[in-house]
Amino acid sequence: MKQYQPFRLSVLVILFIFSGLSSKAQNKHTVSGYVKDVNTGEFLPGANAYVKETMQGTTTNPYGFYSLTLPSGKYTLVISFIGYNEVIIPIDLNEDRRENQSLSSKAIVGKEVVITESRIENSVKSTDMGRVELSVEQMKKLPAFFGEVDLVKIVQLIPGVKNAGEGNTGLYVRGGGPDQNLVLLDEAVVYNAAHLLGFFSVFNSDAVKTVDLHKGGMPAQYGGRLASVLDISMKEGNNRNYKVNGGLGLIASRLTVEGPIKKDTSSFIISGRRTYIDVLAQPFIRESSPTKGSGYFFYDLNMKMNYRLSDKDRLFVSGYFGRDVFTFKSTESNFNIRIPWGNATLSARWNHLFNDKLFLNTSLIFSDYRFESNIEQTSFAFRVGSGIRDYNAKSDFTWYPTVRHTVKFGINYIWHRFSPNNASGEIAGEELDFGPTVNLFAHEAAAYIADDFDISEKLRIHAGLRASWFAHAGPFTRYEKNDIGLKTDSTVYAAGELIKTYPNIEPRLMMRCTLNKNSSIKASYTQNYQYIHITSLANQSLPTDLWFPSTELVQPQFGTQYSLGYYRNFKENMWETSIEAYYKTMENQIEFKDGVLPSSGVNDNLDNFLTFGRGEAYGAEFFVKKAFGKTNGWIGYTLSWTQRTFAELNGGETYFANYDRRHDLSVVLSHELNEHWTLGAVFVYASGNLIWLPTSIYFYEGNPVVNYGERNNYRMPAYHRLDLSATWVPNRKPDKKLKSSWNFSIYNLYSRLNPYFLYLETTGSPIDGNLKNSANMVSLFPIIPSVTYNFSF
Amino acid sequence: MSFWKYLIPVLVILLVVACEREIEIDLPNNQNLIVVEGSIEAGQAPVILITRNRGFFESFPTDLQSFVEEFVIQDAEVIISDGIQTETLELTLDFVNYPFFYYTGNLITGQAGRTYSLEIRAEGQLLTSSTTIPGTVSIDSSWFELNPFDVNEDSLGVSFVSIMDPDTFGNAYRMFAKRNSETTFFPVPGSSFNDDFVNGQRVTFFSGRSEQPFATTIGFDPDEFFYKLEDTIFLKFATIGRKEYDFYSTLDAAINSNGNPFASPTLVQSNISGGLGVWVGMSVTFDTTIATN
Repeated sequence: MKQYQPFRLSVLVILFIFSGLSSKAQNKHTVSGYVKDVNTGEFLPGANAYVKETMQGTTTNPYGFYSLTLPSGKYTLVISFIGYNEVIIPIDLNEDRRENQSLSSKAIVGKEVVITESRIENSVKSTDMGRVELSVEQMKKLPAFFGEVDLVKIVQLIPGVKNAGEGNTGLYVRGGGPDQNLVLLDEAVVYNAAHLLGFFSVFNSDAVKTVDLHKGGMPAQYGGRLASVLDISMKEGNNRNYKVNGGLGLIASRLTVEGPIKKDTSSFIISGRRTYIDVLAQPFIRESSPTKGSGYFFYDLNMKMNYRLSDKDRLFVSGYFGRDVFTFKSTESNFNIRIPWGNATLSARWNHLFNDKLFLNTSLIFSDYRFESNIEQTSFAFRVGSGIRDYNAKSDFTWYPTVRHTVKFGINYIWHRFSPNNASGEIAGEELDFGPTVNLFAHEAAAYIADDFDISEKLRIHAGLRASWFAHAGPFTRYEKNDIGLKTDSTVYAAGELIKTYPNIEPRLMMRCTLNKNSSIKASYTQNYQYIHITSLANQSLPTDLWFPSTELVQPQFGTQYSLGYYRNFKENMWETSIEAYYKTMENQIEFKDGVLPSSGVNDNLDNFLTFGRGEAYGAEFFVKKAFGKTNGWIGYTLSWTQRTFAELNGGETYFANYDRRHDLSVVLSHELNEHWTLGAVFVYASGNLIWLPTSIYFYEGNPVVNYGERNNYRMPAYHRLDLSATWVPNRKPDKKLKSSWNFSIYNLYSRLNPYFLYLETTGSPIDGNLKNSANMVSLFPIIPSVTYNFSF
Repeated sequence: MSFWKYLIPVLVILLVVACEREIEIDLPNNQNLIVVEGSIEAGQAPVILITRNRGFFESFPTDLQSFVEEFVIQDAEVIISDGIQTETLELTLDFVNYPFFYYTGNLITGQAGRTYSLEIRAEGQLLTSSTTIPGTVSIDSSWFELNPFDVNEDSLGVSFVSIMDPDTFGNAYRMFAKRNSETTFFPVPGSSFNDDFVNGQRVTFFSGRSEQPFATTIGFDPDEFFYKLEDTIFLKFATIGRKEYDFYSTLDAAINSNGNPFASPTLVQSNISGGLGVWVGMSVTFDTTIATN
């Protein structure tokens, strides 16, 4: 009776949501408003708004809005946010009130930070499990690789989140695959968050306001991925003053301009970043060099504008455009390669406040990822391109019926266009035939409702229900094959025809039970469906990874996660500690069948080459954080396992996934020495990745051929590294507007030769008696010092 | 700006010169497997070389004598059958030509359209397979051309072959060659192809020189790949079954991606149950061309 389980749960969830909502309308009033930063005029999401008397409250939504509905009476309203001075307002609540508040940031430098209040929302109190918010300011004090602050690299230091190895920004969350993370930039999906094969992420820290990671219980407003949500918001732009800030680094520079378009009504921000290894290296390459003109660079451009239409309506338009470009020119053989790839996103969002209790955000979102490869020689040209494009519309409501409920509901529709490898080319002026251009199309829709409900002072739940629907739509040609892989027949579907639809229900349930003021237990149960998949013949994330929809053959990925955690804070929340354990199953995981070659998908359906299996992951995460004080930071340790079982792979035997990582330790520390100097340190230790090595060799027609044993049979050496940084803020002349700082970083202080990859080599010949197999490990980065100059005025 | 002058080269070196070192890997070979390199051509007796695999990280014998002893299985029981007759093959030695040690017989010869089963007992293991000899597809014409990718080339070139693919799906081919005084045909680089894109069409393709067994060349060497003007080029064109094609295409991919750390392993698709390698039936045609400009 397994298939009825979600429905039974759904009924429970709906009951939860509506219980208590219709409580008798006694005399209640609402206090609501927006919370802003006093200096920049930007809204503050995640700020606390609560009444001191009952310690009941809420946090501001992503647009800085809060609403509290309470019985009539006199209250002390507190608006607080970490790093800001709190505002205390006595209110006499006998009518609905609007309290828009601006918070000023604490002058942290040179002052003891005084903890005056126990915050209403903290890790002990919220229902969030496996959720981490990071401040960009905090990140900038930590060591940076080549001086480039990279928020994805810092997210990788959180327990449960793993990197894929040296210099890689791929995320592997709680045993999930790299395609199972929803990476959002102002609500737009970023399909490939990596620059330069993953050495840097696409997020320019100067343009980012908040980073919010959900690795555990995913709230119902998010969907479409199994493992995690990385929700990144761009800055809105200062609507009080014009400001310029930027940084000069060794390999890249950044510049951001922001300011009001109309004071207090509208503002803009433009932020750009470009690497310049190619430009700097040019003078050193001789004019006669045979590879003159070769190089690599990437750039990012972030733009955002917002406009306050009225007290109840606001408009935001934001966009991102980034490209990596690799070029290779050989004048000798008349050979040119140009490979550009990157993301483009555009989001237009409209906030509307219906009344003090009902908030609506409607978004129109465009998102695109493209990879292209152009190869040219004298009389020969070849182009291959792939990518994915989405048009997305969504409406999200937040309703604050009473102080005990925050109800979120909404709808979402996405139109996907997938372009797996489409090739074209010509030789001596003649077009080469690579078959017709094949794009795949799909509709994805969802509706959700969720309630954060304080059942009692001790018990709080987040009950959510997400209904999702996916359809693979024509035009499409399905090739049918016989058992030796020969095409026997094909079925042609017309444009717009729905070939296969998948309706599903995804219940989400999280609960927190407070044990006392400083400790709580949380549990969550979530189900997620994921309708799009990465197919890759490579063993790590590359820009060439192809996104592929669910089809008749490819079933949606289905994930279930159970987690249980104990949270305890010490010393007035200065120390936060937690232990979380999780168990996950992942159905309908995909891999290529054994023996599939990169050329196999041409003039055929890619999914004819896929095979399907299941995954299982479990582990425990230990986290100790010192949230504030002169010395702060965290230690995270994860013990985890992740396995896959495919009937057609590894002889049907279960094997460990290649990012199965038994131990993963991160230590992040920041210490404020004095008003000029802040020191930072990061230490990481991780068990090596698993790779699949041959166990034997044989000869066929005199060629050595390797034979592989069990999948992922070798664990690479462990990865560990220590980075240090020092940030120096020079004395500021009182009459000068210019603020500046220098960041000195040392990456890999003790120059550990960490494994990047391992390759095998067969040399010699049996005839000469010198035949030899060897394994070589390649390490990328030894100790790398760097310096970055940051400024603002 | 002497600062930059010194810094840039350092940076470039850091990025370009990654550190590399050989490491010891303790990964024992836990599967002793038998490898079949067997073929039966229409009109010919079967030729079957049977060898062993060996631990990847074990060291190899340094003299040819022990190399042969280590790899070649000389006491296998090899039985083939065409459905009517059954024959036990005998080990034969040829001191000049590859494969040097092979099992063959004198009763059964290949015939197009017939299916041949193979049964091998050796070292306590049983291997079985069967293959069908496809019909002949002849070389219609063959010729030599100077390297078509280089307009300035005046001595090195490739052989072209033109065939007519039959109007049925699933045909697959393998190309062999030898030149001048060479005694044995060996497959050319990228020797096999199928008719997925060219069914029922005229197919014209080029190939370079065949690869000699146990060659040590790594990477592309034009002097090894191209024919030279005045070479006499002997071509042997074979039709093979689709399963056998899958073996050769995955074999080529595995050999080519050997050592590529970013590629996931290509598993060679054998048609031998209980072992490695292939048992292939072929119909062959021959042609000769002289490299002239």
